[in-house]
Amino acid sequence: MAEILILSFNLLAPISIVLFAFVNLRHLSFAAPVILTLQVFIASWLAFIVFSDGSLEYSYAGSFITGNIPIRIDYLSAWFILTISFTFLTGAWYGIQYMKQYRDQSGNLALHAIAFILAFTALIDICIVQNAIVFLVAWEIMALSAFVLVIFEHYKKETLRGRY
Amino acid sequence: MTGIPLIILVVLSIVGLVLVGGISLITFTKLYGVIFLGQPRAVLNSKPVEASFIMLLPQYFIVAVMFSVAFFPQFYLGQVMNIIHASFASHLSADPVAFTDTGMTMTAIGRVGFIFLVAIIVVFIFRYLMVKKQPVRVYETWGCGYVAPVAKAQYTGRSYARTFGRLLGFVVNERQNFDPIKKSSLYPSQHKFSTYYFDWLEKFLVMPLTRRIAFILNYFQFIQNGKIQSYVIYGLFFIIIVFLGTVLNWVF
Repeated sequence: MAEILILSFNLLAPISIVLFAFVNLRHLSFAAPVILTLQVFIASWLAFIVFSDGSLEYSYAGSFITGNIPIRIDYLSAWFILTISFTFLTGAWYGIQYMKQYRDQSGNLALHAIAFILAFTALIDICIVQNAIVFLVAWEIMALSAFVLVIFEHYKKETLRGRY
Repeated sequence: MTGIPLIILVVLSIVGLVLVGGISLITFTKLYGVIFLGQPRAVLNSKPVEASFIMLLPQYFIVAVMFSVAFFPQFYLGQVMNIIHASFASHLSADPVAFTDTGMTMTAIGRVGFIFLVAIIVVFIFRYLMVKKQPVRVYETWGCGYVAPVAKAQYTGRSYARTFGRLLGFVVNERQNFDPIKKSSLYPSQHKFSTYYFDWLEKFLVMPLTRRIAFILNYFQFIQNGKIQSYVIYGLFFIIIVFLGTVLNWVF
């Protein structure tokens, strides 16, 4: 059950990347928060499973580079999953109206929505993955997507100056 | 219990609470008075409007969670204790039973907070019922003697703080920024007058300390240098530390 939930959670990220590249702006402002809400729902479900039944653990075989990839959600990671999910959920729904003032920048908005979903997915993966290489990959995805989020107004010099 | 008798402690606590309550009352009256009351100080080109419901909804959600923490702290404390015991049980030295008292105190505070909130809601409902049929009239807030009052002649933050400032004049004394007009100058140029409170605690204790801390922290400014290469090195450095920690079995 947990395996299917985590898999669905992660799959929503690449699906949204493909989807957001093709939908128009009106659908994007609706699709991005809906997909994120779905992810938050799955992540919170996992956290509640941990709070009620104890830690979850399973592993993927991985490759010769990564080796075995254990996935574990204990109480602490479940708590972090809940906190991160809560922050992203409120941010996503607040953003629907807030980002309307940028409606003339459809490409920029699509990239922003993709980066937002990726940052959330990577942050949750950081909490659950127990393999150093995969952890680093998730960490870098999180860092890069956060970077893209921060430089949303990249055409302003002040934004670029404050990106670090 | 030895030392200060209990009754003195209780009296001192009540006095302290009254003082804090008074300060809060003045502060919030000032905040509300300066921001929301009176005539607009400037003509706005576009009238400000409230954000849409969908923008307010996440904020309501956040406030609801904050209220739930305030009113039902025992639930959150229980969950946090579970996490601490499950994750750091081997490092814990404190007796978990000791937290039971804290939990009970927090529950009592939460209950009182809940009653307070209900009381505020009741007062507001009562107020709404009282004023809903009364006519609402916008009237000037500052009209004493002025034939043509201007928007800037209104209550300011100082109008509210002055009485209180005088009360604590021995701590925060009032000073003025004013260049006096000479008797010999027939047509004086533009002058400015302003007042401020000189807080000696801030001047002689807080500021020197803050300056010292800022001075020391400046030595670490090189860490945030804006170079991606450095940030990659920090990552590698962190991994090396974790690796060494794992190999040498360091326990933090």
